[in-house]
Amino acid sequence: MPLNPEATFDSLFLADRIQEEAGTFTAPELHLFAYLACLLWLYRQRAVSDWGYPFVGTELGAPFSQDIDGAFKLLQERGFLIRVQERVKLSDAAIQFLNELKPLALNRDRTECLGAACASTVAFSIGMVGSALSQEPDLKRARTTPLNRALLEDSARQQLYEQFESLREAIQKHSPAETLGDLRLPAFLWLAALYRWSELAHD
Amino acid sequence: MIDISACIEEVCEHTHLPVIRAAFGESGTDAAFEIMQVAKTLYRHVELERVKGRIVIFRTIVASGAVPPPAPTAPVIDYGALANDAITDLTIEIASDKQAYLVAGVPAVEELATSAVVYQWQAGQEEFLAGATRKSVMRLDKAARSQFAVPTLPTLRAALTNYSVENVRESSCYIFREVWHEENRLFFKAKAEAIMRNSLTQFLKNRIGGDHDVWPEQNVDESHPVDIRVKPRLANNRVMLIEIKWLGWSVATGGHITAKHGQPRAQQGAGQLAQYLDDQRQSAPTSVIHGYYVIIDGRRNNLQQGATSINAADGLHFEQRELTFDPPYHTTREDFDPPYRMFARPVCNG
Repeated sequence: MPLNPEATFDSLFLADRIQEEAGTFTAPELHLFAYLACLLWLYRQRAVSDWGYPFVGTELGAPFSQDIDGAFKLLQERGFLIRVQERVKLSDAAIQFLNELKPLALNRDRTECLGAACASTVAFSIGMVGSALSQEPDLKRARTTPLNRALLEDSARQQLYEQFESLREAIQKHSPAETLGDLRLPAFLWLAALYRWSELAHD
Repeated sequence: MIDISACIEEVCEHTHLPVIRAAFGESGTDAAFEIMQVAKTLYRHVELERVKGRIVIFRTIVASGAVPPPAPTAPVIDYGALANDAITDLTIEIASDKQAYLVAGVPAVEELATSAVVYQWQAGQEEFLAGATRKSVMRLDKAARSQFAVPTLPTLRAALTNYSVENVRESSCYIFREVWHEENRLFFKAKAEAIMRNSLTQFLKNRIGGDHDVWPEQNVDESHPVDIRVKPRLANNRVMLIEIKWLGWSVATGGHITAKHGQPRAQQGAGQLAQYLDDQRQSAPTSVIHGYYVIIDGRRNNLQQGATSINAADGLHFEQRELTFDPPYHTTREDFDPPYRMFARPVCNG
């Protein structure tokens, strides 16, 4: 399988941010935050096909990308990842490589989404992000299907767009502004709402 | 049932970020994220339970086009040095260089908030002030003392050890404290197991849930004792099973004793888990199954029915007394972790 450049950049970027938060990271955490970043890409009303790689939902209701998986394995083979017990961290060479990729114009738009996804960890642990995202409409559907299935296909995005519309309206109501605004704000509020929803579902 | 639109509206109305943005625009959002990051870093080093006073963190908003005031000449905050300090009040300013500094002699928070985003924590309550508005921080993790003090932990073992110290020892988790029949934590409520399971499940989901699935089980009978299952997301053949038992006395609402559990109960639980692990291995031979045994220890010495208080000698009598197991499954089997005994202290009077 050829290496996907977007997935490679995203893996390095997310790994760097997650290890700032938790010291180390794991492959499932990369899939989780890459998927959240992709959803924020849609919130910005960009096309899912422009994200660069697809996701499937596992039977446990977690997001998974073959391309992120491929990038993770390749980075591991090339010595960019250092194993720390059951988790990993980036090597100095990996961080240097990431710093070369970050300024590239082609990564600018996705960096906004990746950064906003990771910024949510100031108020949510990675586990809370996982719990919240498991309530995202397409992942919720995946949990009820005993097979891995493609996420964010045309028919499945309608509910997601409805949620995003509710979010835009609520933000505009409580915090009126003329500009699109910082993507960290909707990311934080949407995750908080999904987390509350998951709690109410279990009450 | 409440729908997601209602949750979105509730969150936008009751969380701090929208009012901060309404007061100070995008600069306010930036300041709020900087403050949350400083709070998170601070709480990695400082144990909030030991803070006697209040913590204030603020970031002044500079009007567009105005020259920001220079950063203080004092050194930036040394979080590590605060770890063992006896903290009463702490005020931190995030200056124009985006670094955090300890400061003193600042005005009241309401006055500060006219030109700054201000965060305040006191006795477990936290809020943001911006302009003329103030908003509590929505506490999503009920086990934490601050929404910015929910760590991501590397392993289930680390999480269980943390749970014991942070949540059970002083019953500081809002869910766990519901297990007690009365404020002094002498008797458990009858059938407190479900509350214990919910408390531990939420704790684990929020701390190791990035790469593990955690879900509670319904105990069918004594031969199916497992309370919580934990499964790594990308390793389909690995399952971790957690069994919870409690020791101590439980009482019904009317005050009569419903159960008294001591050392034999702990042994019985170990045997049940070992048997269940054997059964699981036969029914799923390709799975790697590992058992974790959690014992919530609420035993009190010289306890009498109807007691409402206890002295420290009796209340803490069992705190350092480890349980012994025969057979000791954790030394004879590779699939059985050493038991996690978690002593829950009472409130002692003298």
